[in-house]
Amino acid sequence: MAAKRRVPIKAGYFTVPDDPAEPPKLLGSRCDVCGEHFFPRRAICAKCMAPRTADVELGPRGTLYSYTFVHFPLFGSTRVEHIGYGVGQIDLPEGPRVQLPLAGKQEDYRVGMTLEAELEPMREEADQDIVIVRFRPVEADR
Amino acid sequence: MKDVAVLGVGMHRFGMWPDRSNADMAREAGLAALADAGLAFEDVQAAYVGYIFAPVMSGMRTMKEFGLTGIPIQHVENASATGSAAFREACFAVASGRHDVVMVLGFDKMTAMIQQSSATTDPAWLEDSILPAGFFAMWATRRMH
Repeated sequence: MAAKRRVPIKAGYFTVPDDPAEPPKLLGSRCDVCGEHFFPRRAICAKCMAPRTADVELGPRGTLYSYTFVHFPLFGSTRVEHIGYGVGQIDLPEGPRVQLPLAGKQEDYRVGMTLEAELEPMREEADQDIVIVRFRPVEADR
Repeated sequence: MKDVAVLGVGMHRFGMWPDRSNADMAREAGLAALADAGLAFEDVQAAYVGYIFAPVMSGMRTMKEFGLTGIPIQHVENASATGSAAFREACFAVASGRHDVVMVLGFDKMTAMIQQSSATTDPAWLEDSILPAGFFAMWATRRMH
């Protein structure tokens, strides 16, 4: 069966690569004046207030700053694997600390481990997969 | 700035109350606070009303339960801190001299909230998946690290 076309649950936050093996990147901003990076995108730099920022791609890897596990269906999903899910704060190499769902089991997470972004189908809609972005511990770091 | 005092407090018992409306519960709490303070609703010069999941202008409709005296009614919403934010604004209203007596009223039906918020709506952003308790849990995880 051919893979369904993948559509982000909300546009403007992450890439959906054509190659399923390629990890997604987060869509952020870099200040034209001071160089600070932000996620999600900002029109005005939060550090130096310059009203000039450029769109940049961030990640796909980061370091786990903190995490917990939520025992509740992810966004009301009816998929059994979404009944509980990890969430984390991930430091990107460019600077921003992002807060996103985590892939994996409750006992998988450790502060300081390396994670990589991936896409996860939440539901099907008109023969498309509606996908979210989440971070998964990289195998070598588990 | 003038000194501010809490003259009276009142509450409706916590629990699941499918047969009682927000207005029913808020009226009971407000009347208890007025009785505790030894005041009548005519003494109240302004109201600060907090809730999250009731419809727009529910504070206005709920305050009508106490009477139609024409006082200004201000809605305050600040997530988990809704009640304390409404209380802070009420304190400033008295401290500044704008009003002498104000009422702070908070209500919500949390049982209905969970059904509404988790249905089929897309998240504003994926951070919404963390849920309020999750943010505090991550804070704790990091502090214990």
